[in-house]
Amino acid sequence: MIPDYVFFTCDNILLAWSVYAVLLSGNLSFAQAAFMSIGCYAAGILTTQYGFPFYASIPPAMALSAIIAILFGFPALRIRGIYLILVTVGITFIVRVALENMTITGGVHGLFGMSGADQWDAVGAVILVGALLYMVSRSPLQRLLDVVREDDQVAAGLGVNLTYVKLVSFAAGAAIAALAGALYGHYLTFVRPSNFDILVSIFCALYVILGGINNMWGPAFGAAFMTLLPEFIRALQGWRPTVFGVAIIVLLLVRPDGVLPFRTLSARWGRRG
Amino acid sequence: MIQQILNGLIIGSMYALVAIGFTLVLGVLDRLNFAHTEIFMLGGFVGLVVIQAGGPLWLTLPVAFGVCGGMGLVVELVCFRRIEGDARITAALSSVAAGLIIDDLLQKVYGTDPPSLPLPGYITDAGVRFLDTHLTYLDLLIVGVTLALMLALQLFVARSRTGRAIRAVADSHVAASLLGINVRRVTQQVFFLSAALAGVAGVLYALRTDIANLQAGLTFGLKALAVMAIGGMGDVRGAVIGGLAVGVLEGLAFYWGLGGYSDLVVWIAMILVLLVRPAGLFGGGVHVRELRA
Amino acid sequence: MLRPMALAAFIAACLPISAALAQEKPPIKFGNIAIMSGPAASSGNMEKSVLDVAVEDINAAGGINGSKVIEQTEDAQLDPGQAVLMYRKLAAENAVGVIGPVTGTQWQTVAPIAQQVKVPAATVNAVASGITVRPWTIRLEPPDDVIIPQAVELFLKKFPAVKKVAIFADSGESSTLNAANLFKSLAKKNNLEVVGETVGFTGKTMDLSPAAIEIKRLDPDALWGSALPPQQLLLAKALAAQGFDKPKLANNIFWPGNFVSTVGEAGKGWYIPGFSTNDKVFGDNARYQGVSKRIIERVSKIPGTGTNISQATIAYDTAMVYADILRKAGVDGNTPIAQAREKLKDGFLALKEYSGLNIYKIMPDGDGDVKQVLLIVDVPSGQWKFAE
Repeated sequence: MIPDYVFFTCDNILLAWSVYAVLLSGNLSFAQAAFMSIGCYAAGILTTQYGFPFYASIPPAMALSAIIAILFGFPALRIRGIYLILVTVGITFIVRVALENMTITGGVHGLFGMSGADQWDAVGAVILVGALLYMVSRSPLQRLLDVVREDDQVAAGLGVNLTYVKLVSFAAGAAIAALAGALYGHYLTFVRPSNFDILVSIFCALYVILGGINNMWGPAFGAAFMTLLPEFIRALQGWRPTVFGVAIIVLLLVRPDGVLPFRTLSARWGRRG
Repeated sequence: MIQQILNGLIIGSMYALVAIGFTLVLGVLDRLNFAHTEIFMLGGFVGLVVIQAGGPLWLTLPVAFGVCGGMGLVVELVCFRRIEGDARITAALSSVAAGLIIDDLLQKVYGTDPPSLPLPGYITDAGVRFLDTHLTYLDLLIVGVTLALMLALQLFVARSRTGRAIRAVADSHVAASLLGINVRRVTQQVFFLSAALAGVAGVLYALRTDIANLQAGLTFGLKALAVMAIGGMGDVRGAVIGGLAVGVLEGLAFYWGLGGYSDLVVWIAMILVLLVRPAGLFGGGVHVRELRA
Repeated sequence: MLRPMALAAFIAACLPISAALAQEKPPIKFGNIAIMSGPAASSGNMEKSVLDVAVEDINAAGGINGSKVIEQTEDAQLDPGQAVLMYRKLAAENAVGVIGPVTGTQWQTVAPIAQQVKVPAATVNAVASGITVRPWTIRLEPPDDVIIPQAVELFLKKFPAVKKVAIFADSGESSTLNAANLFKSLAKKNNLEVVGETVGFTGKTMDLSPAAIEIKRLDPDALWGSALPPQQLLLAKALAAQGFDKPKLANNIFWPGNFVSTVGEAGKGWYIPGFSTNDKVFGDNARYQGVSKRIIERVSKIPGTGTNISQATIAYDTAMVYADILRKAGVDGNTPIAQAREKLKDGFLALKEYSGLNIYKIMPDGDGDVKQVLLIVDVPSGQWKFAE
């Protein structure tokens, strides 16, 4: 029981961070479910059909997801705002249908026989990714991302290649989502494309909004809170979407920047950036 | 094949109606109201209530118009009123949350299987023949209502005083308020209109499919957003043409034996259009706006 | 100084007496994993009501060797991850056996895990074939590859003039796709012509008028296929709107639920395989009369659930099978739980047939076989009835 809670909380934290990674450069992606599924299936095919050990299957899965993100992103990231959001929604649908129609993935019948992940792997992944994000937040890269996010015309004026930065951020988000997906598949042992529905994408974006978009702890908090809350309050179990929705609206009215809104300290200036 | 095309036009006009509402709020107010799709879904349930209460068929339309319009006002108040400037993305996501709530509450009230709309046979069975196809009176009603609403909207925006105020706000909030226009009032009016249109579309959709469906928002409604992207932000013509085109294409997908992919049609079309014209087919026409996420 | 001592002595004397009075056997817990919230909650509500009645009957007959049976229901919604979580939870909370989970994906996910967790489980609803894993799991519900051939045979006996068949499917869902493919291959085996490609759509398609138009265009003598209940309802209505009046055969996926009560006139011409109605079973019909009344009484109190019992009788029989096996093995509430579970599992392995409300044969792979009949919609009552 407890291992399951730990696992799913960690997996959702990773998904929230994958949204956060893309948000760092100023874009909201609803495609994380798609990248999660790519990671899950890629790792799963490697372990079930090519005999890879579980840990070895993860880097290729993450790499594949990042590459596909770049392929989709290159044309898409020049589109702005809401169009991009809708394109990411479209990506989720397209990837899902693609998975349903490929024989190597088992199509709609699903992929099974994956195994080898336990909750400690998930915890380890969270620590790893968390450390990485923390290092980024204290590095000059964070400043760069801030500029691109806040005012990209200024950034362009400063000679920053906007598309490049956004692509890297999009690919990083895809890779993190892929990691979450690989863990998910090898924990559940069996997945189908319908496990990676558009609602998954929407929910992990909402975790980030709930927790706070200005730093890495917010998304983690949002994910943990929403995963564990229904378990603690029995009566709310059947009301998950409403509770979620009300929590978000109330929070956004009271603290529009999320529960943990502080920005991370900038390494260079040593004060709130 | 003609049948699929005609059928597609009917479905397409419903897409158009939903897309128009969304594009209105976006074009005039620069806001993304993601609760729009759930309000569309709500329309179907409003229609259900009216019919179950014994009201005549025609009553469903104005009631849905009013109730859903009112819901639009609620959403504006709760999600969008307090949030200005760069926090727009959070307002948009707040509206996603509002949509979730509407969805869940309806589910609690109506349970889980979609309730059926008892409809009189004279509208669902009887009809006319046109180009070798049987078009029921209901089909004609859908097209008629959609056309009427679009025309009415067009006239309203072009001729009426409120319409002028709306256009002024669309150009610039600041200039409009300097001219003495009550921007907040206009905002409310636009939200009301947009949601009311979605509500009517919802009733028509429910009448056509014979059920009030909780999933309608995330399926049909979400596709209408893609239609809007195809047509171009803030452009009503684009929403109409995009909607009709997508409706027809989906029907033809079945004709070509690709029915399983029919839901993908709109997303692929959207991506293709955006690659070639990043602002949509008619984007950059009336409302040229740099959109920030 | 005597009084406290006397008091103490009195209390000390009482203790063994009260302990003896409290010597009732601990209860035995059956776990139930069903869909209790979300779009399919009506099926979960029905199933729980049926199980409640079964547990009442077991306890009325003396429980299991003196121990009462209690039931703990967990909600898996439509999520296989939740199903796994709930299964492990029931295992940790001392359920001797689990009834459920319900859908094909959930069963497919839990059945292999059951072999490691070692808590017996039996699904009452999943119809996909080949996913029951012995020895720790069993299924009284026949799978599709047992049901559909019988359905086809019955249908062709009723409509011998059928030469051309069209096939429809929800191609985004494993069980419906498999079922439709099975229909297709059976059509070919019976020397019927399959017209056109399979008319496919997905669980997200809400407007089936294009599909209905296409089916009408193909002009078959009969329509066979499988789709999830919401699409099935939409398809039936769309076909009626197009004036398609040929006979139609599907698998039993929409036997439970509210298709039968909401489809109305559009339900004419639809045939499904089944083995009981609200009024009659082919097994212990006398007992069923009382049982079905009690089920309907309970279920009428839950809004949105409807009174279509359909195959929930399997849940009743499954609970009875558990109780039977445990009784015969001499298990009661004091038996160490691992041992009780072993006994249940051994009972699974030994079970060859069972006669409850329905009559089951258990096949070597752990799935059930029940003789099928054709059911049609009775429009006035909104319930299924036997096709004549």
